[in-house]
Amino acid sequence: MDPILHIQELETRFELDDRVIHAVNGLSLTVNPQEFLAIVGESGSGKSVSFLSVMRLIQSPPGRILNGSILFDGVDILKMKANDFRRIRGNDIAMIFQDPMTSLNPVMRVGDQIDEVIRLHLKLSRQASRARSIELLKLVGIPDVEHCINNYPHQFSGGMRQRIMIAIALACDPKLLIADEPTTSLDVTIQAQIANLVKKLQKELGMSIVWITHDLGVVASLADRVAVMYAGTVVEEGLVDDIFQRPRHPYTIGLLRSLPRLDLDVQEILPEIPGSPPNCESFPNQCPFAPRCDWQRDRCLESRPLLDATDIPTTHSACFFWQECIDSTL
Amino acid sequence: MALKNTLDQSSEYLLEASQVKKHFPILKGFMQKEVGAVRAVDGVNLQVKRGETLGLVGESGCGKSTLGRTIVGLYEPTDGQIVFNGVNISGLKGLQRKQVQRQMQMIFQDPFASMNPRVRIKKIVGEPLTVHEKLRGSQLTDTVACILEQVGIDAECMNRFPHEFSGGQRQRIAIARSIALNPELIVCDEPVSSLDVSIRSQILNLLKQIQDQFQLTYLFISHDLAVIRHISDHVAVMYLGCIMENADRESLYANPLHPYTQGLLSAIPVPNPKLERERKRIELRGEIPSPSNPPTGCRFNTRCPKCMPGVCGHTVPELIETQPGHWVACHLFS
Repeated sequence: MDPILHIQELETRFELDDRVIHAVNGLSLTVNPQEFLAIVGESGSGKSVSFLSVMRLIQSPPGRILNGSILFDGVDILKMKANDFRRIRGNDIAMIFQDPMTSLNPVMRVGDQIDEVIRLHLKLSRQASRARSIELLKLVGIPDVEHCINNYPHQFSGGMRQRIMIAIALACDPKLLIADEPTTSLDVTIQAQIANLVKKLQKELGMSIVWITHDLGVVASLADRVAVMYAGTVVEEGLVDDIFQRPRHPYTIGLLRSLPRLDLDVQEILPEIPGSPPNCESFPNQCPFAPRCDWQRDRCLESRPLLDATDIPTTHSACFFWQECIDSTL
Repeated sequence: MALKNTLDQSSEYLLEASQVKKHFPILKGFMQKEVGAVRAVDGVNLQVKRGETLGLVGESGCGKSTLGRTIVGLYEPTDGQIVFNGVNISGLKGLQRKQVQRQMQMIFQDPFASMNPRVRIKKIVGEPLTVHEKLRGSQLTDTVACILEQVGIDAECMNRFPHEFSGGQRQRIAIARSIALNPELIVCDEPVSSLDVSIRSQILNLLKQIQDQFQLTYLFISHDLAVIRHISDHVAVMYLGCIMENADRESLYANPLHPYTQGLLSAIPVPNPKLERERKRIELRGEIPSPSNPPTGCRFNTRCPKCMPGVCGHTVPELIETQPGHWVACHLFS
């Protein structure tokens, strides 16, 4: 099956007056049809910027996509004219953002905000689009839709606003839904509601989902496949069970070990990853994780490891010494 | 009430709060007439043992931060008393207040907002020392250097400004500031929530390490049940201004009694895909009601999967001890 999204060697930078921010450094990634892919990374790892690049929402200047290609359904969207891409954005590819309060228009009724998308992309009449809006809001579990469709965003709670965002994103039956930390600003009980809703909708509508998050628990409960990002690139990717059971990159190993977990006994001291994550630098000739890595060798500082197959074909790791990593975690 | 009995053995507890309330008035109109109140904390009983950590957990808006701030004296309680080291501190003023104040410190959630961006680290950490200990000059510099080393910050950095440090380092500086006066109690208000996953474990380890080193008592506020479990000896679960369940760590996590605690625990995804697929979830419907107009009876009755009609909506359940040390406020147990 051909992938729905195929990113190759993507490089996005922000060129400021006094310095250059290397947000994405050679990212390669595929998303398959009907797949739930989770992107895991800490702040500054480039996970949001990568997918803003996919949506072509990087403001230029200062942002610039230097290299790479993004194939959506086999067509390179970076080479498309802005007007042609506008037909795809919000239609075939939709996105949900972290904070539903800032991504909804505060002075526009929510019903009109959904109608706008439907009428623009599907060219439906006023009545038909309103009917579709009501149907969508019911689908995402807004109670008493007929009453509150004319309310403004501030009249809804955070969880309800995020449901409205999801309704807008789903308005045109997208093939790919990108969710950028959609549950981070919500409480755990609401987070569980939203996560279950998205999982259910994916089964019903059969779209691909890219779920960007830093919460490994959410990943384990939702994803089919995981890509771990560090310093603007993917350091490990694989099926969710393999990544959590036997990670093959020192960063993933460190992350999983350093979590306080409800499913294991309490440890007196948590294993730490020393140092702090890099601040948007580029590492052309070394492994970006080497300064914080327990397995660091000379080779790690001399050349940069690329994402390569490991002993299981579905898992790729950007570490020269993944074999040793596995041995030491046995 | 049964809790009163335990209140008398005071020496074991460093901090005891009984029936603490904090209401914020809602004012309206030209005359600023009081039309209602946000009942952020509404009758909380808590005890913190000396040298232990009490974890206070709840969703946003449940009043956990307000309670923490009321305890350290940033807010004056509307009602109830807070006994610290055997002294009732609510209502203390002047010098007495100042003396109690230095025994309790606070660490805030956002290390970017909790420090004055135009003040150097030396002054940030040294200010409590100048105010309370009257330290000046080289004596102050030496003490600050010593404190910074203890939290893993290079003492040579003390002339830098907060923006020159990363989030994790700033949280270390905030910890340095809180231990400067060698306090007895530190209220940690979500100290790791804004930090990256890989930094979180560093700060949690540091907090544990300085707790052992200085025999500190923590009131640790968080919404993250996994973090709370890692750091606490006792855990109190809060909902809409009230304590719903209070128990030692093992019995709370192994045997949660209150339907709210059960719902919270089941809502948290664990980083284990196999376990996640097999887990049965109790999904809590709806959202946390407004604290300005809390539901009558049990606060949780509007979302409770085990709500009993005719009971839960009418009477407020009292916190009762079901097993030794395990307190729960639910009609299922009364």
